[in-house]
Amino acid sequence: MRSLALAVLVASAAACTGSAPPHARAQRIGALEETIGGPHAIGRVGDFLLENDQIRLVIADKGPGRANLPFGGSLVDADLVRPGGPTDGNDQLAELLPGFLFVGLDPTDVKIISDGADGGVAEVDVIGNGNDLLQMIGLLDSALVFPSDLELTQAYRLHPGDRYVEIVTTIVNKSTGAHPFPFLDPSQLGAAGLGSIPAIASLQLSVPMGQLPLLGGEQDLFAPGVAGFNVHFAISDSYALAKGFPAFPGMVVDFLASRGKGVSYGITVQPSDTNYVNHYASLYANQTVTPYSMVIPFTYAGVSAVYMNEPPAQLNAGEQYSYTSYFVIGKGDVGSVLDTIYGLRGTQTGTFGGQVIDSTTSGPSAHANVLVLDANGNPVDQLETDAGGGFLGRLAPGAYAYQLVDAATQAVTATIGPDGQPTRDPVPFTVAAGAPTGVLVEASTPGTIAVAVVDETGRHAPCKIMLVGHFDPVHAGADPRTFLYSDRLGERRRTTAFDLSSTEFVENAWWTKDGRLSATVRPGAYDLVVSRGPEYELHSEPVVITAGGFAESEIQLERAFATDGWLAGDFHLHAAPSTDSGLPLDQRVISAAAEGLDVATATDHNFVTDYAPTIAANALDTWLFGITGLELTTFEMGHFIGFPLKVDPGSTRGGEFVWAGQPPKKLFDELHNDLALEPGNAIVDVAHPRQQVLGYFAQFFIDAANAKPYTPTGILGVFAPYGDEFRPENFSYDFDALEVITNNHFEDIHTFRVPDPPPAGLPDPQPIPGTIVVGSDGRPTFPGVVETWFALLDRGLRPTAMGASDSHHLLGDEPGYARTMVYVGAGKDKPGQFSRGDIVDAIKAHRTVATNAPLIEMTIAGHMVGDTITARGDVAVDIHVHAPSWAQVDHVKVYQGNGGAVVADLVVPATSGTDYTTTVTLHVTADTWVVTEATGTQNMFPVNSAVELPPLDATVIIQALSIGLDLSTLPIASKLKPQRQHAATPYAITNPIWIDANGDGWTPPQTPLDRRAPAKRAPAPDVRDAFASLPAVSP
Amino acid sequence: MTRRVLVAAAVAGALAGSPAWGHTFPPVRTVVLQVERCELAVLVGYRPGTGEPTDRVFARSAARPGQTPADGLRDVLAADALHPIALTLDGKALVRTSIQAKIGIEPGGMRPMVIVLVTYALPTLGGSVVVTSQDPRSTRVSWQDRSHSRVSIPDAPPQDEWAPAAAPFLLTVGVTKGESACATSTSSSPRSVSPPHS
Repeated sequence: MRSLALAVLVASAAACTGSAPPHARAQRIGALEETIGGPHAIGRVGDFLLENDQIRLVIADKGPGRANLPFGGSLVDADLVRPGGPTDGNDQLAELLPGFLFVGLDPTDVKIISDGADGGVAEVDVIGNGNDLLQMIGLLDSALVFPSDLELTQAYRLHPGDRYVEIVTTIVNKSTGAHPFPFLDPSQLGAAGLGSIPAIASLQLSVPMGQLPLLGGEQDLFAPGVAGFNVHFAISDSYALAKGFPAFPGMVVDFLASRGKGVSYGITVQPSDTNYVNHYASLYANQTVTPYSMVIPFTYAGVSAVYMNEPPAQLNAGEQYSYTSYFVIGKGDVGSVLDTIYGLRGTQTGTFGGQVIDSTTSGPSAHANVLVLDANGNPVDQLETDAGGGFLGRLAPGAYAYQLVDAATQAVTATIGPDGQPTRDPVPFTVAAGAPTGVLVEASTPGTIAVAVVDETGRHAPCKIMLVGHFDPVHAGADPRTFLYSDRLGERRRTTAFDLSSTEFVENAWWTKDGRLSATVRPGAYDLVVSRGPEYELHSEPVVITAGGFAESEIQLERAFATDGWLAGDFHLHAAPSTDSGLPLDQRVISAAAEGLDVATATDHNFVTDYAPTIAANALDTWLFGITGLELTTFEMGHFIGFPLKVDPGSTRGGEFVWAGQPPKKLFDELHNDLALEPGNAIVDVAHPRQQVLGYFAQFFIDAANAKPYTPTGILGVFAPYGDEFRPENFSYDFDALEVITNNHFEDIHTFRVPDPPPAGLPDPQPIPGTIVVGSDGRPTFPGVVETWFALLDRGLRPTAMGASDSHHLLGDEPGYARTMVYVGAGKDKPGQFSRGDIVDAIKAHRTVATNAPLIEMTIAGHMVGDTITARGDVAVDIHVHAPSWAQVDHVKVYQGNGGAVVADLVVPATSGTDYTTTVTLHVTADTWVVTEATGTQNMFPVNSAVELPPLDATVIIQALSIGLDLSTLPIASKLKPQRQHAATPYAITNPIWIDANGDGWTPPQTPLDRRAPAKRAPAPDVRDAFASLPAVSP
Repeated sequence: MTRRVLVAAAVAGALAGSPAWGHTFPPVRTVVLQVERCELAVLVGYRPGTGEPTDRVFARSAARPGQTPADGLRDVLAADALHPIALTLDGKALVRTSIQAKIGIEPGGMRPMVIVLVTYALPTLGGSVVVTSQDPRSTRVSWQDRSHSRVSIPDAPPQDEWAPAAAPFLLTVGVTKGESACATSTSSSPRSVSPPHS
C-alpha cells in the first residue's frame, strides 16, 4: 500500500452526474421521450415521472401489471439523471411495491400530490386496496392481514438534490370496528382454513410489512455482513438460525444494495428500537441486529421481500399507521449507494480511495472491484474503479481491510501487500472521521490466451472455448463455494463436474461468433476445451498460462454425426429484456450459434424480442435463424411460449397484452391471434409444465393419469390459487406443444419414484424403492411431464414434445441444453434453404425430437415421427441413436399408447453409445402410438453444466414459510422429493408415430379430450328462480 | 363464488365462533343484474356491518309501528340494501316495476341479511344501463344475460364474474328483437315491500 495525495484520489473518482441546480418535479408522462429508457424500462405514456437533478423514477399508472407483478402502480423504472433522454437511459430496476406480508397494493388511483413547482418536494401517491401477490398463500394473507378492510397508500417523495426517494407507506382501517394484527387469533386459524397445518392453533404469528424490491436480473444483490454478494444462500443459511415465529425466518441486514453496469440500487430505513427486527430481537439474537435492521425472508430471480416494520396490535376504526423507507440509486457499485445511506443516517465518515494499477505495466485497472471487509472479514462495501483505475467511497471510522476482484477474471487478484510481496489476503487499513485514507493497489498481472477455431470444412465457426482447471483433490465432494470461489466477494462461479471422481472446474468460458478469441485469464495450468454443440466432438489440449504470459492455439473441430434434414432449435431463450436475465442480446445470439443451434427463438418474460437485428449485426445470418417470440409469464398460472410473433415498435415491451387474472384460453388466444405474426398460425408451447409454482400443469393440478384438472384437498388445497381463472373448467388444452425436458430439470420428466435407498428420517412405514410416491389422495406426488403427455396422447390430443434450455445466462445455464431437433426435409437444413414457415409446419407436424444431445431417428417402414401409418400385427420399429462421445447413451426405451407401457427396455452396449441401431417389434391389435426415449449416465460436463446449486424459483417463498410452519405434508417441503441437484446426463425422446390398426382413421385409446372447447361452467341460475326458492324468512 | 369469497367467509366463520375476539366485519352488498328481453331483474343481497351497524338495524326495525318484527326488519334491511344503488338508462333513473324481499340470519348468527328482487322495465330501444353505488367498498356487481342477445357482449364486463363498484358498471343494451316491442310494465307484486327509504 502506498499513500497518495487526496486531491489525486478525488479527481480520479469524481462523480459525473447531477450538474443541474437542485430541483424536483412530478408530471404525467405525455410522450415516450419523457420516459427513462434502459434495459428494463417499461414506463409509458400515462405513467408518472418523478425526477430531480440527480435521479429519475417512473411510477406506473393503475391497471393490470405489465411485466412482473399482477398489479399496476408500482415503481417500475429508476435511473440516475443522464444527458441523452430515453436513448441514454439505463434503468435496470424491475419493479418495487409495498409488501404487507404477501399482500401487494392493487391501485385504484395514482396521483400527483405535489409537482415540485414551489421548489420543494415532488410527490406521487399510489392509493388502493390490498390484494394477494401470490394466490397460493392467500389464505395466510387473509388470516393475518385481512386486507379487505384496509386502504393502502404508497407515497413517493423526492426532494431536490437527493439520490434517494422517500417512501411513506400508510394503511388505514376503513372498517367501522377494530382491525387487529394479526387479524385472527391463533385459535381461529384452523377454522379459517389453515387447519391442515399441524399445530397452527398454537403458533403466534406476526404481520411484517415493508417493500418488495425486484431489482432485476442485471443487479447483483449485496448485504453487508456474512452475506456480501451471497445474499440468496445467506438467506438459506439464516433459516438454520431461525428461532421460530412470531419472527419470520430470514436474514437480518443493515441495508440492502446491489451492483450493476452503470446503475445500482439500495434500500434502507431510519433507526428504530421498535421496528420489526428489533421488536423480535431475541428471536434474531444469533444475527447482527442494528437499529436499521430489516429482515429478508427470501429472494429469487431478483425478487426480494424486505420487511422493516409491523403495525400496532390493533388499528381502531379510521385509524392509520405509516412507515418510511428509502430507495437509493447509485452509480453501479455498492459504494455509491452506501455513500447516500451514510448521508441519510447522518453517520460520521472518512473517505477511502485510491487507484488500482497493473503491477507490471502500471496501467490503470478499470472496472475492478475493491471489496471492503470489516474487522471480522465480512464484506461491508464494494467500490468499482473508473476508467483511470480510481475509486473513492465513504466509510464509518474503523479498522477495515480490502481485497481486489479483477474485472476480467472476476477472481480475487493478488495485490502487493505491506511487505512488498504479492498476497491474496485482505490488506488492512483504517478510516478516521473526516479524514482521507488513500491507497495505491498494485494488482498482479494476468495472462493472455489467443485461440482460432475452424469447423470440419475450414470455416471460422461459432464455438464455445473453455479453460478447464483442476482443483486440489482434498476438496473432492466439498461445496465449491467453500474453496473454489467466493460468492460473498462477488467472484464469478466456477462450475464443476459435480462428481466425486472429478476435480475439474471451468475457469472461464467464451462463446465466440467466429471461433476467434483473445482473452485475459488467471494464470494457471488448464485444459483448453472447445465445443460446438452435440453435433461435434470435443477438442481438448493442455495449456499453461503464466502471469504476463501469452498462449495460443489453432484448432479444427471434428463432426460427431450427420444430421441431414434436421435443424437444432432452442425455442425458449432469455436475454436482457427479461427481468431475471442481464445477458445482452449480442451474447445471447452468439452463444446460441456457438452451441451449434440453427434456430433461436426469443422468449423473454412478457417482452416480445426480435433477434434478427442482433444476428445481422454480428454477421451470424449464415449460422443462426432468429424467431420472434415471447414467454407469456403469469405469476402463478404457468409460463406460455408463443412464436412467431410480430413486434409492436410503439410498445415499450414489444407488444401489448394482458396476463394477470386471465384464464388460460384467453392467454392462448392472445398468442395464437393478437400477437401472432400470422394470426391463427402461431405455436403456443407450454413451458416447464410440471415445475412447482411456475408450471401450468402443476398449478392446475393436472392428474397425470387422465390429463384432467382436479381440485386439491388438505394442505395442497390451502396452498392452491383461488381465482376464478383457476377453476378446473377454465383449464384449456388449446396449446400446440409442451416442453418435456427443460434445461436440466430431469426431475420433472418422469413421475417420481422412491429412490433406492430412500432418504433417511422418513416416518414408518418406510416407502418401497421403485414405487411411485403418492399423496393421501392416491395420486402421484410429483407427476411427470412425460406421463402427462402420454395421457394427452391417449385422449386424442397431439401436443408436440419439445426440449428447451430456458437459458437466462451462460456458464452453468447454457443455451441449447435441452433443444429441439426439427426435421424440415433432406437438404433443407442449410441457411437459406428453409423458412420460418418450414419450422412452424414441422413442429405442428410433430417432426421433432426433444434432446440435450442424442438424436433418435425412429421410423416404421420408412415413416418418421409425426406420421400416422396403417399397420396391424407385428410392426417393426427401427431405431437409430446418434450421440457425440461426450454424451453417450446406455439405455433405450420404447413406449406404446394406452397407458404408455414400456414395450422394450434395452441396454445399449458400451461400444455403441455413440451409434446404436436396433429394431423393436410391436404387436398391434388396436390403434396406438409409439415413442422412443434414449438416456445415458455419462456426465456431460463441461459442455452442459451440472445443477450444482439449488435452483432459484418461487418455491423459495414456500420454503421460507416452511421454516416456521410445519408444511412437511406439502410436496415441495417434504423429505421424499426428487433430487434437484445433479450432473447433466444425456436424454432424448421422440414424438410419436401413430399407428392406425384398422385403416379407418386413428381413434384414441381413451375417451377423447376436446382441445378447442374447454368445458363450460354451468350458467348462473335465473335470479327470479333463485329468489323464489328462498323461504320468506330464513332460519 | 370465488375462493377469495370462500376465504373471507371462512375467516368470518372462524370469527363467528369466538365473538369475544371483538372483530367487526364491514357490510357486504352484492348486485346481480339479469338482463331479460323486456325487463331488468336485479337481485340485491345485503348484510349490514357487524356490531353497531347491526344493532342500529334492529333498533330501527323495532321502532316501526304497525308491522311485525320480521316485516319491519325486512323493510329496513331492504331500504339499506337498495339505498346506495342507482340504476340509470342513458342517464335517466330506471323506474322500479316490482320489489320483493326476503330476510334471514347469516350462518353463525352474527347479523341479519336480506335478498331483494327488484324489476325494471327495459324499453324497446335499449340504451346504456349504468349501475353506481354510493358505498363502493362494500358493493360488488355482476350480470347475466337472459335477454336473447340484447346485451352488447364485446363491450360488457365478463359475465357471471364479480366487479368492484369502485367505478360505474356499464352495460349496453340494444334493440329488442322479435315480433313485438316491449310494453311498459306497471305491474307490482303482491309481496312487494314498502318503498325503501334511507
